[in-house]
Amino acid sequence: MAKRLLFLISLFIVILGIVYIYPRKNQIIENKVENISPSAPENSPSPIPNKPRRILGMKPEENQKLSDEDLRTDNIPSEDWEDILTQNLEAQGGNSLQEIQIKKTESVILVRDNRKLAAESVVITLTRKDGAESSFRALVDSETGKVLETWDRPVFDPVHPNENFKVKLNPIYHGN
Amino acid sequence: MLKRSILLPLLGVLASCNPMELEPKNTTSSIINNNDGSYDGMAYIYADSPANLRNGNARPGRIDMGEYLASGGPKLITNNNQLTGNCALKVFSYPYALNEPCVHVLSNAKQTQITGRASNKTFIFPANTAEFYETNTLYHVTKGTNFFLDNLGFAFEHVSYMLPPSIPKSIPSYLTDTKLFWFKSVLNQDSRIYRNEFLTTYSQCELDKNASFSPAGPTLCFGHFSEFPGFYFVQDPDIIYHELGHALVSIMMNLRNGRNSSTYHDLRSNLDAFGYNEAGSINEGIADYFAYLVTFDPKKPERRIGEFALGRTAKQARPVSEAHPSHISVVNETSQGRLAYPEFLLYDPNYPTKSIEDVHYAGQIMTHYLVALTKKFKSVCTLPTDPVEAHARVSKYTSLLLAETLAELGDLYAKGIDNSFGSPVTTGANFVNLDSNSSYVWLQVNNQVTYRRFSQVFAKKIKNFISSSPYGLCPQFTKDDSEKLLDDYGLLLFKTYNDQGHSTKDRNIAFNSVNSSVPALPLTKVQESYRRKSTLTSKELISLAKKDDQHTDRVGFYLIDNKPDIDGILQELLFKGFTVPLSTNVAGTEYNSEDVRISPGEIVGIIPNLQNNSNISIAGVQVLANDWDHVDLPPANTANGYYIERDLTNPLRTTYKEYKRLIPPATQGIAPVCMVQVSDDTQTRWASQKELADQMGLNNKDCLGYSASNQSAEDFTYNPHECLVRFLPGANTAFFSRIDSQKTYYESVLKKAETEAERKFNVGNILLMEVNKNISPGTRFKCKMRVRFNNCSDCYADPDANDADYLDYELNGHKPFKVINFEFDVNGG
Repeated sequence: MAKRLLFLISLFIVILGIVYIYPRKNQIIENKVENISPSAPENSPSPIPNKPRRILGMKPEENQKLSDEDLRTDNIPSEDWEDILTQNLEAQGGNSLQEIQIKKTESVILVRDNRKLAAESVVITLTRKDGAESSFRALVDSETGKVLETWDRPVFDPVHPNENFKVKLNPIYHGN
Repeated sequence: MLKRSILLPLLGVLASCNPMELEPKNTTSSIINNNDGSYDGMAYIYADSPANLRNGNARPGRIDMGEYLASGGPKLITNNNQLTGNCALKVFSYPYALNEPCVHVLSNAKQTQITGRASNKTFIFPANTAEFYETNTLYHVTKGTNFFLDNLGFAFEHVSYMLPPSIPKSIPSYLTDTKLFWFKSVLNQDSRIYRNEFLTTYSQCELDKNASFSPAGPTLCFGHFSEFPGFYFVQDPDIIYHELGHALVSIMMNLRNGRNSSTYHDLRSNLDAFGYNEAGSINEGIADYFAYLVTFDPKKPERRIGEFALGRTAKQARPVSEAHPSHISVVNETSQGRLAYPEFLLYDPNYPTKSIEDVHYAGQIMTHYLVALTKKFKSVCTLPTDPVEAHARVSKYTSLLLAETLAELGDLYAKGIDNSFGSPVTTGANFVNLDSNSSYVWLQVNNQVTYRRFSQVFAKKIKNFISSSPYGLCPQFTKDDSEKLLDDYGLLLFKTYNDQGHSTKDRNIAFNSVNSSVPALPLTKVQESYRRKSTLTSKELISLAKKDDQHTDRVGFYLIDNKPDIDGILQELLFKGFTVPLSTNVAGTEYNSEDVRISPGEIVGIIPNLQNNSNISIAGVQVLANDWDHVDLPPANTANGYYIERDLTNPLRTTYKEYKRLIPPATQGIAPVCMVQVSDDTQTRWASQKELADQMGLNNKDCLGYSASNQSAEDFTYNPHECLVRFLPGANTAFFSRIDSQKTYYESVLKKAETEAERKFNVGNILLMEVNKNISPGTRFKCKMRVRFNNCSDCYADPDANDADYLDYELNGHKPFKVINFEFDVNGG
């Protein structure tokens, strides 16, 4: 009887160990993965420090040949761009958003309208309060945090297309 | 996680104990004997949705998908050890493979580890579990991907190796170097960590009543339907193929946006929309067509897309051909009965009495046209007698046409073709989308893909690759046949094929300037006697609506200034990826007075209520409120950058050929649409807003659009000519599906809604305008909007060029458009 009890206690401890320790181990691994990036390929190269900004449309090797003057931008990059971008997105999103994620992919130079602008290429991911997520890419002015362009925008296919957000015609709306 | 960690080993133990092999009907567990490895990497799958497998009796909800598994044993899911799929473009049987798996399947974004094989090395998991749905999703995504790549491989072989260099083609022969036959990182290696080259597919993601494709991932997301617990969109493979179709459209639009294995354009093309437009409609139509191609069964040729997921849940399944009985009786496969543009743009066969402006319904015209073309090919081309093989062959033809068309339309390098050696053209003239710097704006705003633009390029590809002799794939389907079919669908919206290959900026320069193998090309004209449904009318017959004795309630513009609506529009735009740079502190919805006047500080929605004064319906109406070349810089004021209104009737003025904004110190460029009225001693005139702002003593930071975080920061993208009022970038173009003869837009679409509550404007109908809080009441503005539509006789054909289309640079000016003036006083009612 005692032997049997001892066996049962041992078995209980083993099961407890599996139930408690195994998931914790997994959780630790998961947290680490999340801290790196959920989708980071194992062979991702580490970023090169102090790399000069690439002019958009130019290959990195062509960019290397340019002088400092060629790479001088009209605007002055600021560390605040990401905070300002977040504020701008919050201003547009109002109370609809639960979370804003901004992931920088590259610092670049955008040549436009006879200007050379330091810009950040980013992926913006928005989570609405209803849990729906949207993700797209953007070029952001490195000084002002202003969005200069967006692309790779999502395509949604709701079951009820007619339930997309629309503005009801208010009888008082009229023309000038 | 805990459940899976313990459950999988236990199931593995159970499986090894039980030698019984179960047939699909009973396969609700993972029990299978795989001692000899013959089922490695395999699983039972459902080949179709429960609605199609059970003759429509299945209902969504707590359904046991184990009852719908295909007979004939397990199918190969993947040879990989995890639920990932591989991709290769096979060219003459040689596989150009990607280094890594091209598809990853996860249950949802919270899952960090891809599911591996069961302990018996199969992917057989208990039915209805997360792993079961992941497995089935991978099966269908891989099936669709392989189908696409087989067809693209055929198209690549044909245009690269089977055709003479004299035929212009858009699928690049260096596609195997760029690997743009799949998703590809478009920035440098350092950014790969955030830019996956594989398509992540979430089989049970968080979305309610929705599925989506996000190219930024790239990600497919298949949600659920909260009203039907246990229902998931992946239970209907049609939905998987439809969403995958969006991903493949995205790939085809970018086939030309790389030049070699290390050079890619920094932006990417797509056919997208923030509300209703035709680019989004065409994308939806092609996605449905792709689902049709993959699921085609000669024994059941007429089926609907989403019979289970859309039909059984919400009565929203979509037919793909006129032969389906769900259509109203006047719709049939005769010339008269086709689902023609623009008559059926607002048609939902499930609710045929309603008029709904939505990309999915409008996209049905594209799907039905492509399916009709497929059937025509099957009836006239020389094909294998076996219907499955014939379908496979014809799928290759139509896939070639789609890939060629989308590759040309989406070319951000703005070339459209390669040089005579098949290498990318890196210098010289441009032939599509204006130029490499402005191509994205051109494609998204100024020259969007519409039914007209798509049909014209698609018809050119049919002529060059299908009908032509001796190189056409099916010369029995002639140019005449093509034009007749296009007209059956109301899509013969062009007068010429615009196929001379002219540069976007100079009609004296053509393809042969960059490719000496392409001879001077003649302009191909449409046979006008085939134009029966695709009737055209003049842009001069469109105007802002005006009250008259019979229409006392007509208004020229609808004005929306209530805060909840404007906030809602801004939020909707943001979620769809259209960021709108607001002028915080100078304007905002907190100033909105909700008195239906344009008041200082407000953000207002403007909806031009256009009136069609012609005797036919007009459709695909686009209103542009972005910068264009409409002003003159008086020499005396050049230093200040002030400008005045140009006399557009002056024939001596040519349109500016670049897309550069008139930001000081520039002396030439495109200007914001809104001018302000200024008065001096002798006259009242329309002038630059900068002139009045300077008179008012406003600093840059008191102006709209100026964004600076601190005292020293400077916004170099700011344009002082829009200091006082401006249309917000991202919301400065509006699209309207259809305006019936002698009616306004409101009367043609909204008024047809059965109830007052259903009379709603689409976000895509609305222009957003900011008003500076510093403006004095009574200040008068004029905004010069430009309007054109698809069935327009004088918006595209240049009478000075034998009706070839206007060159792209002319879209900087007024010639292709009707200019609509929107005049208002601040605080005016």
